[in-house]
Amino acid sequence: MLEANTVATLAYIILFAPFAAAALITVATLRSKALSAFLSVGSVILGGVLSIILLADQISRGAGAEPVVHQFTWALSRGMAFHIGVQVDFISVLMSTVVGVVGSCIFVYALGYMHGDEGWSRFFAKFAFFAFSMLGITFSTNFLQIFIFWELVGVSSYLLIGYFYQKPSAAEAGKKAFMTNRIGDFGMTIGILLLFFAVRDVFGEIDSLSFETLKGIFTNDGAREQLFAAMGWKAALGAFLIFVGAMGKSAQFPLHVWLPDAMEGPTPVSALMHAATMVAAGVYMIVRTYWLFAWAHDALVAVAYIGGFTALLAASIAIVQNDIKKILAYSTLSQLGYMVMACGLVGAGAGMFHLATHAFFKALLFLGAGSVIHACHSNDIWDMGGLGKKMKQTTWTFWAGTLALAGIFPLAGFWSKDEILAVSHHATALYIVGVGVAFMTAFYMGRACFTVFHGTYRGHGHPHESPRVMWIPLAVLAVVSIFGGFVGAPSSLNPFGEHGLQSFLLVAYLKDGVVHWPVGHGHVEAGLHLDVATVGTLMALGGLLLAWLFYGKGVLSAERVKQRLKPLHTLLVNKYYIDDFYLWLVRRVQQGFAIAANWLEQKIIIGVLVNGIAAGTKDAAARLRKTASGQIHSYVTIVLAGVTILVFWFVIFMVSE
Amino acid sequence: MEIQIAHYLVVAGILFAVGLTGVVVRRNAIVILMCLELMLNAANLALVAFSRVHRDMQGQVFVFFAITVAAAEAAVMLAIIIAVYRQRQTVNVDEMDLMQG
Repeated sequence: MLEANTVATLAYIILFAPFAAAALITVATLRSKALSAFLSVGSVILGGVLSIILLADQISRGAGAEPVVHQFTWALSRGMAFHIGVQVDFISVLMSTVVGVVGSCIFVYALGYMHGDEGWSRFFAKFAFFAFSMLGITFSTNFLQIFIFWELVGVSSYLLIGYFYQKPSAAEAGKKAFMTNRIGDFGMTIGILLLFFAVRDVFGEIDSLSFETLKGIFTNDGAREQLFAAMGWKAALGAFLIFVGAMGKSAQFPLHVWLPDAMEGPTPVSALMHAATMVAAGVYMIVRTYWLFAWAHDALVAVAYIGGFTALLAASIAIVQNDIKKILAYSTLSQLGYMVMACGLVGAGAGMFHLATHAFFKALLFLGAGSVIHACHSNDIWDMGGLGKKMKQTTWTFWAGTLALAGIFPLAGFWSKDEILAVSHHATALYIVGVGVAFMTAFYMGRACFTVFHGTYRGHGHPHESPRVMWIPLAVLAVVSIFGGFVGAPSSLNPFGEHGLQSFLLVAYLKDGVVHWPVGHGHVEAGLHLDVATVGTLMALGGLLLAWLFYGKGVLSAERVKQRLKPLHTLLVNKYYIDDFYLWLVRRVQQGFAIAANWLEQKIIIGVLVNGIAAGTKDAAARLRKTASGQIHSYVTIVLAGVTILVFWFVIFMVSE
Repeated sequence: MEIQIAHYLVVAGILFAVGLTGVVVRRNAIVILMCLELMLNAANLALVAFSRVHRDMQGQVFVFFAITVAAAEAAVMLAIIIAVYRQRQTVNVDEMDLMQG
């Protein structure tokens, strides 16, 4: 077990190493490609190694250990103090390990993928900055700090999605991501303020933004009742608004539209964004502030249903996509919906577990897709095919990722998906959604794999295996995706103890680990749930089998099904017209408001208030200046008149009294 | 007839009025200057008169200062008038309107 000071110092190093790298590259080493790459990749690998040390330390501390909090006072204002620092506990260390390890693989891969790119140094500076922003969220001690880094993630994602800024679609996608996120962040701001002022009104001037302080209040029955009595319906509203922030970052319906477009960025960016950073931030924040959601039941129900709906919506769209990165993007959306649904069903531990395993296999799939795109110079899966023979490393790793995502025993996805299905077992509707999504996931991933790696090659040119610097990270991620799930296995060999990782996560957000869910109650034993696992595995195998029949064996014709279900297919291809609806909203409704506001601004504010006052003053001045004739006599006469009036006034009003 | 405070004040008032009229109606800068002096001394006279009535020397001390300052002021003003005359060959204040707004 490490000293508290050592733990805090390590956390600061993990946090600031990528920042230092980004700053150094920007100010000093832009010219030297090798040095820039070394700084950027080195800083993240350092973070990964130190995170693993911290994780080992957390395991030695045991489940439910007190968090190590170290913070500085950043700003003092009338009765309010704002702090900034690091909070090291199991959740934050798990997250930083995921960011560090997955990030390291992606950074190394980027060395190969971005080879020969003009903006090389700029790319690595932004990339490191992205990692810094995400680690800032991870180690935040309070709502203000998490919000600042939340925005930094938004900014750096904007920079990276729009990395190919000469391309209009990339610039548009960057803007779309940023603005959609801003909508979520606006909700989050209001939610934080609601909570902040309510806590201050009830408990006086305490550090009412700090997670630990708030956790103390929410886990104490008396204090919580007092706060809820004072807040009334605003408590659930505040929790929901904070969740709206998570909806933006974790791309939940209806703020999910930015994520598929974010594919415009370079593939390593997509991998980082969809696996370890950005989209993970929303789920992470829900888990981080779970003491709040656990008691705001109404908000929790909304969270569960929004998550479930997003999972279903995205999985169905993924089935008809032809762009390999788009398939993975919708798959990410759907898996995020899964995690959010688990959080809403009082399974924050399951959600966090799935977040961690998903990070590994989704990063693997994206990097694999990048490798394929690199070889075929196309994103369309119908331009590929038969790559299994030409790209052996990419193929087996991609299959490993697919099976992990589908949830085949004993790969990583199996364990975490099992947890999610287990927590949703008591809410029948969402359980059916979960099982259905599991089936669809297996189907669309099977479709992609059979089409890309099997059959005959349909594209042009001669695809070949990617260089070693690209497939070694794939292999590392594949190994973790295959074996990583065992941390959730109930076994005495498990480094996390007999009840697996789950037992750490349960106690990490609530001391007693039991939270009542309105529909039943959500305390689920960690480990293997045989009934759920059987259903989940059957669904996954069924999905893969169906995909094989369609795209591998060719017994069934996808074309015929498409003809039969023409309206449904059109609906799916058009992504349920959600983007079109938003576009209509912006073009018609928002544009109408904009025109009205513009008129108000031009005519009333500028025309009357600004220019009107200026013109009036100028006119009055023109009249007044005529009295300043420069003639002594006129001045003297005016003074004389003034004095005379004063004297009369004095005589009449003062003397007579 | 005993000379009383009222007499002094009437004389001071007349002097002041004469000076003021001169300032307002005359055009010659030097005459205006002399009229100003007249007004100043009207005020001085009133001060001295009140000083006698109240048997308080402060008023007279004040007058000493006023005379001193007036002397300096007169010197400065004469210098300005001469400077203006050298420039424009006139001491008519109607022709001096450089300060027009």
